[in-house]
Amino acid sequence: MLKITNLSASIGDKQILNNVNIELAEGRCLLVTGQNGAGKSTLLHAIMGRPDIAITGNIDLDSVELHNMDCHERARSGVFLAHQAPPTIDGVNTMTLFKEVQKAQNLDITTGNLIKQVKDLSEQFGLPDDWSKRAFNSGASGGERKKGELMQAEVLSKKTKLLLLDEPDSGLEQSSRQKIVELIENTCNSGGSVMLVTHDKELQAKYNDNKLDLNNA
Amino acid sequence: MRKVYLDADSLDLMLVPVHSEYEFVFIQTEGKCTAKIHLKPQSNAKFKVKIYIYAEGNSEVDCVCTLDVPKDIDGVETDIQFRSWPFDKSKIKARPEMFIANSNIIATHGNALGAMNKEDTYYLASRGISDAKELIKQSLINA
Amino acid sequence: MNELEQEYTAGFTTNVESELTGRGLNENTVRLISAKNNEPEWLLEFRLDALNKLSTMTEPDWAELKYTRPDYDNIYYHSRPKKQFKSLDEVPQEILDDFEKLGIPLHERAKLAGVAVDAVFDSVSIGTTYKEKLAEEGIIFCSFNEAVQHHPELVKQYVGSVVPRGDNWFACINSAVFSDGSFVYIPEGKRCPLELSTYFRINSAGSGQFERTLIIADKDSYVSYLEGCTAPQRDENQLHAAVVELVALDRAEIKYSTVQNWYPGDEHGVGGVYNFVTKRAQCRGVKSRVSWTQVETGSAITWKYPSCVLQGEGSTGEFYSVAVTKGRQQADTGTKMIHIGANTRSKIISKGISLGNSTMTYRGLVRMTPGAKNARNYTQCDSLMIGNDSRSNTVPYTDCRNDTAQIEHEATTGRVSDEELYYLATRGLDAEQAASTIVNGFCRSVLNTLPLEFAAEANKLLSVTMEGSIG
Repeated sequence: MLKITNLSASIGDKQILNNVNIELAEGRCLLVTGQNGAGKSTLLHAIMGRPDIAITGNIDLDSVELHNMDCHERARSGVFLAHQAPPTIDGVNTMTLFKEVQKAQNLDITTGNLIKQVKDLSEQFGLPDDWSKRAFNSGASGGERKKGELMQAEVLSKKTKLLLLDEPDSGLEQSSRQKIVELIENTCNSGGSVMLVTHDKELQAKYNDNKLDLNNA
Repeated sequence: MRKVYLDADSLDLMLVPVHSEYEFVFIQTEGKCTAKIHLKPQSNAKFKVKIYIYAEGNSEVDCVCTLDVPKDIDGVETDIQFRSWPFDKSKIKARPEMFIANSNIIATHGNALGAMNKEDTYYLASRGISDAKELIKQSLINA
Repeated sequence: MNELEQEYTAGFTTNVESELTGRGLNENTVRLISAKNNEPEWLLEFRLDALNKLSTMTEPDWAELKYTRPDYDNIYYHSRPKKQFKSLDEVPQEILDDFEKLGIPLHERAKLAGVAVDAVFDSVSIGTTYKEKLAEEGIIFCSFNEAVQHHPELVKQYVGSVVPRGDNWFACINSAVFSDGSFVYIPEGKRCPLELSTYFRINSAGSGQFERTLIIADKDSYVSYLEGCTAPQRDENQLHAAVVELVALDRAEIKYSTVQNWYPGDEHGVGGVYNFVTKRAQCRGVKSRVSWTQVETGSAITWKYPSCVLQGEGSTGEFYSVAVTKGRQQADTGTKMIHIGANTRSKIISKGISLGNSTMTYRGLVRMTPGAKNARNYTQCDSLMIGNDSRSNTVPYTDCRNDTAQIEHEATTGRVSDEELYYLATRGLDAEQAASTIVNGFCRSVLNTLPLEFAAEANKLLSVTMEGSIG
C-alpha cells in the first residue's frame, strides 16, 4: 500500500506540486494525467527521491517512510523507476551495470541466469546484439533507451513493490506497448503497485478506472 | 588490445598501431603516474585508441598521447578518445596531441574529464547503487 | 635641438643616436621613452622594474615555430613615425589593389595606407563627434598616454594587474618599452553605445610595435572593442609584442574582436611581422563575461593565446578563432581558460586552415582548479589542411583538479572532402569557388560572433586570402 499525504514539491524556487494525496493499494495501477508542466514526471521523481526536488509531506510504502530515505535506499526498498530519458554513462559497460545493480539490491540472480535473461529479452525487444556489451546507452537512440528501461524492469525488479513508469511508450512501436501491459500486470499480480504516466491513448483508456489528474489536484 | 595499469609510476610507450582498437586504462589510487603514449602509424592505418583514466584520493595522473603523422605517411584514419574521472582530491592532466604533415587523413579526438555528474549519480542511485565511484573503478578494471 | 646637433657633429655619434632614437634594450632607452611621454615617477619605476626582471629571464623556444630571433640590441624601441606618403598617388599599387579587393571604403584607404591624416579630409571631425558621444556617457576612450596624464589613478590601479611584468619574455619587454596603446573605462551600469575601434583613436603614436592596451568594464557595464582591420599593413618594425589587459567587474561584459592582416613576408618567408602578443582577461566580478574573437590571416609568425582567468563566481570566458596560414607563415595560437571560481563556464571554438608550406598549431589550456566547483568547459578545435605541404598540430592541455568540474573537448583534422567538392562541381562551382564555399562553412560558427561590419570584412578577407591557393 502506497500512502502519500500532503505532498508538496519544488525545484529551486519553483513550486510544482501542491498538497497531493494518494492511496494506492497492492495490485492496483494508478494513471497520472495532466497537462505539460502539471508535474507528472516530478511526482514520480519526488517519490524516487531525486536530490534536487525539495518536498514536504509523507510518502509511505507498506509503512516504510520513504520520505526520510535517500534515493538508492528507496531503490533497494522496492521502488523501480523507468526513466523517461535515461543517460549515457561512459566507461560503464551495460552488462557490468546490470550485475552491480543485482548485487546492490540483493536480487539473488546468478550471473549465468542474468546473461541469459538479458540475451532473451534483448531479442524480444529488438535491441541490437552488442547492446549489452557497449558502454551504457552509448550510441543508443531514444527508443533503444526506453526499451533498456523496460528490460531492466523485467530482469531486475522481481521484488518491485512500486513500479514508476515515466512515459515508457513514447517513440516505441505497438509490440512494446503490449510489453508494457504485461509488465504492469506481472507487477500487480505479484502484489506490487504501479504509477503510470503516458500520453498513449490506448494505455490511458485501459487504466482509466484509477486516475489522478494533476490539473485539478 | 587492452591494457590496464594499476597504480603505475610511469609509462613510455611507442606504438605502431597494427590492430584496429586499443584501450589503455589507468587506475590510480595513490601516487603519481606520468604516461606517454606515442603513436606512429604507417600509411593507411585505421585505428581507434581509447584512454581511460580513473584517479582517487590524492593521486595524480599526467597522460599525453601523441599522434605523429609525417609527410610520407598517407591515408591514416584514426580516432583517439580520452575519458577521465578525477575523484576526491586527485588531479588529472589529459593531453591528446596531434602533429600532422599529410593532409590525406581523417583524425579526430575527444577528451572528456569529469567525475560523475548529478544525472548519472541519480540514475545509479535509483538502481540502488550508492557508490558510483566504485562502480566505475570495477567496471574499468574488469570490462 | 641645435645643441644636440652640435654634439652630434662633435663626434658623440653613437651615444647621441641611441639616446635620441632609443636603440637597444637598456635603461637609457627606457628613461627616454618615459621622459618623452612625460610620465609620472611610478610609471617609470614600473618600466625599470620590468627591465630588471628581463635580465633574469630567458627567451622562450617551446612553440612549434622556427624563426630567427630578433636582434634586441638593434631594435629602435622609441617609436618612430610610420613612413608617411603625401597622397594616395604615392601608395604602392599592390596595396591599393588589396584595398579594392577587400572593399575598403575610399575615404578610409588614405589613413590605412599611412597618408598623413591632415592632407586628406575630415577625419579629425569624425573622430571628434565620436568622442563627444562617449563623453556624454562618462565613457573614457583615449590613448594610453592620455590616460596616464588625465586618469592616472585608474591606470595605476589596473596596469600590470592582469599581465604582470614578469609573466613572459615578450610581456616583460613590452612593460619596459611600451610606447602607447588604447585605454578604455566603462563606468558602472553603462552600455557603450558604439563599437570602439582603434581606427578612431586619435593621436595614435603609430608605432604598433609595443602597444599597451587596458580596458576596464565596471559593474554591470558592456563594451565591444574592435582591433585591427582587414587591410594589409606593412610595417618596418618586425617585432610586435603588444600587451592587452581586460578587467571585467561584477556582471560586466567585454567583447574584444581582432582582425589581423599584418604583412606575412615574401614567398621565401623573408621579412614579415612577428606578432607575439600577450592578451589576457580577468573576469574578476561575479557573472562577468569576456569574449575574444580573432581572425588571423597575416604576420609571418603569430604567437598568441588570448586568455581568460575566471575568478568571479559564475563568470564566463569565450574564445572564437579563425586562423589561416599559407606560404611560409607559421602560427602557434590558441587560448588558456583558467577556472578559479565556482560555476564558471568557458567555450572555445577554434578553426585553423593551413595551406602552402605553412604550419598551424592550436595550443589550448583548460585548467580546473580545486575551487572551480561545477565549472564547465566546451572546446571544439577543427583543422582543415589544403594542399599537401602544410603542417597542422593540435596541442590541447586539460588539467582537472576537482571532482565536480566537467571538460569536453572535440577535435578533427582533415582536408576538404572530395565528395563535397564533386557535389558542388555538379552544381556549377569551379574548384576555387567550391573550396571557398566549404571554407566559409567551416568558419561560420566563428565569424558569426564578430560584430556585423567586421564579419562582412572578415568574410572578404578570407576569400582574398584563399585566392589562388586551391587547385
